[in-house]
Amino acid sequence: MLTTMLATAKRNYYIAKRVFPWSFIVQRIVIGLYTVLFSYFIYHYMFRGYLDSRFETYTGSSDYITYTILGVSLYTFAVSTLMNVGRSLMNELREGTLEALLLSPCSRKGYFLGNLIEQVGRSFLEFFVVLIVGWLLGAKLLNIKIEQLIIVLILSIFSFFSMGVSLATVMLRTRDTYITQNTLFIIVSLVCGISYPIQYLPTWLQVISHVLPLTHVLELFRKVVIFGDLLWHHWILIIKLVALSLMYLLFGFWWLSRVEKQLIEKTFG
Amino acid sequence: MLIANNLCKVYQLKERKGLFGPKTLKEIMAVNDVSLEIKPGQIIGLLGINGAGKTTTIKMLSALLEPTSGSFSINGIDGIRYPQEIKRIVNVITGGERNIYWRLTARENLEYFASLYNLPRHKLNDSIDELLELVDLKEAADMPVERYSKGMKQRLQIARGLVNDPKFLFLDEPTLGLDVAIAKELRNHVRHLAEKRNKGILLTTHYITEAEELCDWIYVIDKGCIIATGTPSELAYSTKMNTNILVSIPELTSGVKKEIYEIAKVHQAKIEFQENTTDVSVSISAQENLTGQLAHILTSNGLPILHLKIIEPRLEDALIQLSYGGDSIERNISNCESRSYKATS
Repeated sequence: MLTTMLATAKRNYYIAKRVFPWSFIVQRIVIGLYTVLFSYFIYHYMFRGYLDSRFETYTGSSDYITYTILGVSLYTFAVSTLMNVGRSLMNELREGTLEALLLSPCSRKGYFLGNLIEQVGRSFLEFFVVLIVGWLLGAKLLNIKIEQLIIVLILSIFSFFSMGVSLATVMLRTRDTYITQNTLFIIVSLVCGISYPIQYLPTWLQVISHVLPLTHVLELFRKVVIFGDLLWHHWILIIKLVALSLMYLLFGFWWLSRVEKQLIEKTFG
Repeated sequence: MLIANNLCKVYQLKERKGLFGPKTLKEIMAVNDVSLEIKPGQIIGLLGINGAGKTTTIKMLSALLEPTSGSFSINGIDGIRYPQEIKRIVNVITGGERNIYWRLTARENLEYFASLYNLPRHKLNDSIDELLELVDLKEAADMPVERYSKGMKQRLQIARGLVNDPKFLFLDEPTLGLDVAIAKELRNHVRHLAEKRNKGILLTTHYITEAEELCDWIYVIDKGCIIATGTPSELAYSTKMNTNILVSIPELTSGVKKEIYEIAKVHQAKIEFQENTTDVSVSISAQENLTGQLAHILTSNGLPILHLKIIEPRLEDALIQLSYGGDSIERNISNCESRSYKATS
C-alpha cells in the first residue's frame, strides 16, 4: 500500500508540475471569496448587521462574519479534497489508463491515499486564502489554539477523504463527473451549515445534514475557533464524525470492488 | 505453463423496452468452453472475427474478469482463487495509445507502473534502463509521452507490459493502426520476447500475416467457442481448400491432355486449358498439391515448363471459411463440442 501511495503521489506531482491546475485552484478560491463577499454584503448592506435572535440560540454566538467565513473556508477545503480524490478514477478512465491500473495488483487504498497526499498542500492553500480574506473582512481568528486546529484539520482530511472514495465510486458508476460533483457540492453548501445554522432548515433536510460529515466537522471547527473549546469536550461529536466517515470509507471501497467488475465487463474492448 | 480448462463467461445485459417498459435480463455467452495451453517461449494465436470472444478470454486469463465457470492456472497458481498472484506474473499489451500517461515521460511511466507491482527500489532503475533500451526509447526516455510518435507510444506500451517481468504476456491486437515498418519492428520484439526471454505469449490480431509469421499454434474462436486449432499451415490446409497450380507450356498434345485428365479424375481436381497465341495455360485446382505429378507428365513428354505458379491455401481464407461458414464446419449447431475441429498435419 505504501509503495502505491508514494508512487501515485509522485506521479500526480509530476503531472501537476507540468500542467499545473491553476484554473481549478483559482476557480475554487474565487467561488470561496464570492461566497464570503456575498454573505458579507447581505449581512452589512441588506440586514444592516441585524441578526435573527434564533441565530444566537442556534450557534451560541452573534458573530455572523466569523461563522460564515469558517464555513466557507472549510467548504473550499472539502470541495478541493473531494474533487481530487473523487475524480481520480474517472480521470484514469478518460485518459485510458484505468485498465493498466486494474491489471496491476496495486492497493486501491494506496492509490486513493496517494491522490490525497499530493493535493493536500494545494487544498490548504485555498483554505488559508479564504481564511485570510475573511480575516481582512472582520472574522475573528486570532484566538485559535493551533494544536486543536491541527487535530480538526486532520479529522477533516479523514472525513473528506472517506467521502471522496464514495464519490469516486459514484462517478465511476455513473461515468460522470460534472453533474455528480456539482449536485453534491450544491447539496453540501445548502444543508451542511456553511452560511447559516442547519436548524433553520426543515427537519427532513436536517436529516441529510446529519449524514454528511462536513456538518459535524464544521461544528467542531467553529467550537474550536469561535469559542476556543478543547476538543475532548466534544468527544461524542468526534466519535460521530469518525464513525460516519468510516461508513463512507468502507461503503466506498465495498462498492468500488463491485463497480470495477461491472466496468471491466462493459469496457476495455 | 498456462492451462485454461472449459472457461465460460456469460454477460448479463439488462434491456428495457421503451422508456418505461419492463426490464428484461438477457444473457450473452461471450466465451463458451474455451480450453487452451501456453508453454513458456511459445507464441499462441487466438484468432477470430470481432465479437468472437478474444478480448474476454484475455481479460479472464489476466485475472481482470472472473469466469462464470471453468478454471485456469498459471505455473500452478489457481487463477480464480488467487487473482492478485496471477496479476503479478502476467501483463497485457493492447493496441492503440492507451494505458500510458501522456503527461509523464517514458521513464516516469515505467517507474510508476513498476511501483504498482511493488518492485524493489534497487532493482527499479536498472530494469527500467534495460526496458528502455529493449524498446529503443533510451534517448527519448525523459521526454513527455505526448510528444511521442504513435510507434514510440506503442513501444512504450511494450515496455509497460514488461515492467513486472511477466511470465506470460497477452497481446491484444498490438499492431492496430501502426504503419508497416513499425508493425514489423514490433513483431521482431514479440519474437525476441518469446525466443530469448522465454515468455509465453498469447496474441490476438486481425492481421493474418502477423499470426502466420509469429504463431507456433493457433486457436480459432468464433461466437465464444474454439472451432479449430493447429499450426498456421495445418489450419490453412484443414478447411479442405484447394491448391491451385497454373502452368504454361509451349504446346499441348492429346496424349498429355489425356494423362492430365486421368490425374484430375483420380484426385477430383478441377482442370482448365487455355490456348494462347504463344503458349497453352493449364490450371489445376485440387485439395492435394499435384505439382509433382503434373511436372512429371510434362517433362516425361519433353514439354518445357515456361511458367509455373502454385497458389497454396492461405490461413486467411481458412479463417474466413471457418468464421463465416463453409462445408467443413457445421454452422447450425449450438454446442461447442460438436463444432470443434482439430487440424491434423
